[in-house]
Amino acid sequence: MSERGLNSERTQRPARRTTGLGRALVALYAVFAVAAVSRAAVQIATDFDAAPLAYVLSAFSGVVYVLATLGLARTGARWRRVAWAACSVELLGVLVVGTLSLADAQAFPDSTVWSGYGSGYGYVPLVLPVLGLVYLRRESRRRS
Amino acid sequence: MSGTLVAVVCALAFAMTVWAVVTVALDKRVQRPHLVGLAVVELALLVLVVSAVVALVTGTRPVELATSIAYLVVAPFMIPAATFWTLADRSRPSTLVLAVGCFAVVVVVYRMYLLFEVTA
Repeated sequence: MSERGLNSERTQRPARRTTGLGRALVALYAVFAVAAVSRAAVQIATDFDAAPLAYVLSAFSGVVYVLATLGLARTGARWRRVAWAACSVELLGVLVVGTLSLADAQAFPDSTVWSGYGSGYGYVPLVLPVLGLVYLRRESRRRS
Repeated sequence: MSGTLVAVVCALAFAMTVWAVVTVALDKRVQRPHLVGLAVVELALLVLVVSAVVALVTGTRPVELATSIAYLVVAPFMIPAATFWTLADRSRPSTLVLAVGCFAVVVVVYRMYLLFEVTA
């Protein structure tokens, strides 16, 4: 199998964002979307009263990850705007919640994806929005 | 949950992660040997999941029972999903999806192990 010969991606790169590097990014986002949403679902379903703020934030971050995944995976101006917004909110969220969780541990007795700047998840939540924004910027430049 | 089995699955999944990254670095595409490797990881993972289900049925009760069950349900689907996703577009970086998927298996299996350690 000589894939290199068969692969004509190099000559006719399709405009889909689900190809190339974006695909790996979407996969990474999908993992976090599933992780954040399921974590929040379990937390809220089992004991919501233990840490309402943290659990609501968990759910919120889950929704943001889902939107970012969809925004990056789909094409079109609207989805691109969704991706921009989601990645920005995500970066803001991880920075604010990360700082708050360190400054006021009382308010965050149970951790969210964003606590400690995502330390519980190998700081991937901190790196992910930056990668997403860099990728979106590069894409918009290529288009113009 | 057997620590040895967890270590084996993690090592296999991690090896597969490295292999996928090396494949991207060398600008090669996913071939049959990769699929065999993925099948081996998936098989080891299934053995682990079955053993965990047996443990649950025979009375092991992790404190975070709902989370543990969620992990057991999701885990077997990760490698097939990553594989199909990678194969759907055989460009160079698309193999990175495989690396992401396999590394996610490492993390999930390790977390599963921790969850099953804390029992009521």
